[in-house]
Amino acid sequence: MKLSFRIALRFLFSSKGQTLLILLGIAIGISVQIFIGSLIQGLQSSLLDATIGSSPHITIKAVEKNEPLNHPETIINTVKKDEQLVALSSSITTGAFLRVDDRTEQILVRGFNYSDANKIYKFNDKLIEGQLPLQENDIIIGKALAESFKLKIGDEVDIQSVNGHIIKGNITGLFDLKVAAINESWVLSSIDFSRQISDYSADQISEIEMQVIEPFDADLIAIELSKLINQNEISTVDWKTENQQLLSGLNGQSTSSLMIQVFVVISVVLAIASVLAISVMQKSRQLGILKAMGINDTMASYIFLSQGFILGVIGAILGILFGLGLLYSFTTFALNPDGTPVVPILINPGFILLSGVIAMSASTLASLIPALKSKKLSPMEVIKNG
Amino acid sequence: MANLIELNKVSKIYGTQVQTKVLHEIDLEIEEGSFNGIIGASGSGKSTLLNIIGTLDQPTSGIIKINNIETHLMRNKALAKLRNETIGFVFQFHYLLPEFTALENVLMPYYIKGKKIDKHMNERAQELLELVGLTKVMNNLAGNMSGGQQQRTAIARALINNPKLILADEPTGNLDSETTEQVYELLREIHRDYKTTFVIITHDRRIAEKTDRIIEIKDGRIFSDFSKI
Amino acid sequence: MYQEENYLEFKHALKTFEKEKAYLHIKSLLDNQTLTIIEIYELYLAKSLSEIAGNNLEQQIPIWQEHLISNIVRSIVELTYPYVLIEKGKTRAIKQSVVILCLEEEYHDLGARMVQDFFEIAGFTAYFIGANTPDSEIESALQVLKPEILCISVTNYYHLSKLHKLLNHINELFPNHDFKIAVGGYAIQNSSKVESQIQADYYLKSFEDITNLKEVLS
Repeated sequence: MKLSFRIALRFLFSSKGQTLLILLGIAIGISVQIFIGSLIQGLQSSLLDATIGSSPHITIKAVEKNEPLNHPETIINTVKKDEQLVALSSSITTGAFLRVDDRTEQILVRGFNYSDANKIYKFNDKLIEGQLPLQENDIIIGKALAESFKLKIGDEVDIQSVNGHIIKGNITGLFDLKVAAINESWVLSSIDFSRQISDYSADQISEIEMQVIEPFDADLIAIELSKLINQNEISTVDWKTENQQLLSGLNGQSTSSLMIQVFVVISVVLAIASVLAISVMQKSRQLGILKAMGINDTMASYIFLSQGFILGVIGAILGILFGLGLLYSFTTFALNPDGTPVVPILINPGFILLSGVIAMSASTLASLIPALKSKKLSPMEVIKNG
Repeated sequence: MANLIELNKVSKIYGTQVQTKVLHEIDLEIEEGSFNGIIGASGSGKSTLLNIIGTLDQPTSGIIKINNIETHLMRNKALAKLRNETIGFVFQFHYLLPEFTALENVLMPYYIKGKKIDKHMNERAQELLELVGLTKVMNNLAGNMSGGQQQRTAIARALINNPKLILADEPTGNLDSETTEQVYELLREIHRDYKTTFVIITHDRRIAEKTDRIIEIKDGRIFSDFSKI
Repeated sequence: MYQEENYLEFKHALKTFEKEKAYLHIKSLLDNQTLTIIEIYELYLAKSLSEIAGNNLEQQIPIWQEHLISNIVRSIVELTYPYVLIEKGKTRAIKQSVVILCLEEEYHDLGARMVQDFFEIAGFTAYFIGANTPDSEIESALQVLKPEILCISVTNYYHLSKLHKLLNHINELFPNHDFKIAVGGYAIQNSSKVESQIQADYYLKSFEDITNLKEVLS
């Protein structure tokens, strides 16, 4: 075994050009695999983050549109038992009108308890000016809305409920949620402020919003929660059901990325197998000599398995280095005007390690064919043919 | 002296559709410690005979005993071991591993035996290389040595495991006459010092003259067989 | 009468390459009729040569010395021809001829040369062809000289297989031939399984074998 390894090493060293070429083949294959894998993973995670990073994964509300949830405490107590839960925020959302001078615009007033809501919406980060509502009548408005009404922090505005009564709100901040429709229509307030506008009683809210550990399990968790709550007039909505198109896009991306990776690995395996098969032919003379000297068939086949393994290990290391190099240059040179990378790349050590292991096992596997072939070689063939 | 090799009605047929009988029921006994020459025209079957004795090739029928063990009953692994420990081969085309140095080539059968190379063994290999006059080039890669040097290395390699039997197929076939003489003297010395049994195929009259027994193979049969008394 | 002391003196002369002394030594033995020419060949010349540089010995003296000494002996052999003729005159002649030769690449022909004299002394007509005779030349000699006996001397045992081959060949070339085949020499006497493999009619070891052969043939 040790001798076979030594011979393998020597064979590889003796034909340096060929060895380098095959190493390069493995390394490039693996680096491409790592690069594509990391790129797609980064792309997906940034996309996902944009989609569900700052929004609820599951929302519980009344079946009937614009109807309140009654006695939310019992529901909250029930759902809080779920271990998947990372954030929970109850809110009152209601339609209203913003009146400034003669102009009236339809808006959506959303009242939150900010210590809870921040965990989901990260309002702190979205605030471009001012501060979150502290007092009952404090409100923050979207940047687009502020522009269209020429409002600024400290202004007092009239908010008119659908029933017609008007409540004054103090603008304490401006936010940018990166979605134009929201920036134009949302007015965020304290939960009490929105309760006044909606006319909900003290034990009524409009929805409970949640984030879970595994966003991709949101649909399953939602079903589970609705079973736990077990009330007819309540519905649970998850982000997956509402974003089918995005999901199928992501899925397609994952699948094609996997396909590319699989084909890259297959071509690496084929390359190694064919080069090693040629190497058995090239080394058949040496094998014949070794067999005449008494090397047994097992040892002979170990020589080629060792070659495959050695090539795999070195190829994997080189491939990982090349791959990291590619990722580094991509994140360094392909930039947005603001200096952030075009595609945020995710460097996942587990994935890279896995690629290395695949390279190693694939090339060892590829050497199985030549190894078996070497077993059959008879010393006579060499001695007869000189 | 006991017989080291016994052949009983050994035949060899090559080919399946067009059959060529290369050896016809050969009976042959080789004494332990003897120095034997095999001569014969090319195509007479002498190399086939030697390869069959060396277990590199299998007879179509007949029995071969080495050390009183019937080799055709042995498994591949046991045959490999027999070749490694009992037989040393020297071929016309030296057949060294070009990727290894002369010293490593000489030690190769010992490595294959699965033994660790200790100081003693290294010294023995160097002694053998000295015996064949290659001390100076022992660390050169085999691929970079001259034909004569390679052939002498092959002889040293054949000796490393102290085999009972050395089979040589035209060991001086592609050497000049001076080197032929050196190689021959070397084989003779080894025979004298280690009581090794030799079976040498040769075209070279000067070598055949000096063996103790000359077996001539003609058309796959033993044509004549003379020994010195 | 053979005397050991006298023999050793001669052998010493040979060993020291003293050609003249060696020749005069032999000449005096013949002139004084101390020994017959046959005894000189068998007990002095052949014996001393095999003792000094015999085939059964490891090479003790350099080859050039061996050649030098055998050439001294050869000279002595040639110089003793008058004595051979005297001896020949004493015996009854036999109307049979013998061709004596060595095979191709066999250069040790001194023994064969001596055998020629033995045959002459025994009353045969002897044709000595000598060393290194290729097979085709042997055939030609057989056709021209038409001898009753073909006598082949083999010194080096390597040539036994060649002899074996030649005799097979001659049997094919001259089917039912009348001539007999006689073989002799160091290799014939010192190898195993010779008589079982070589198809010769006679194996000659000494002058006595030749006189016996004469009795058989006449």
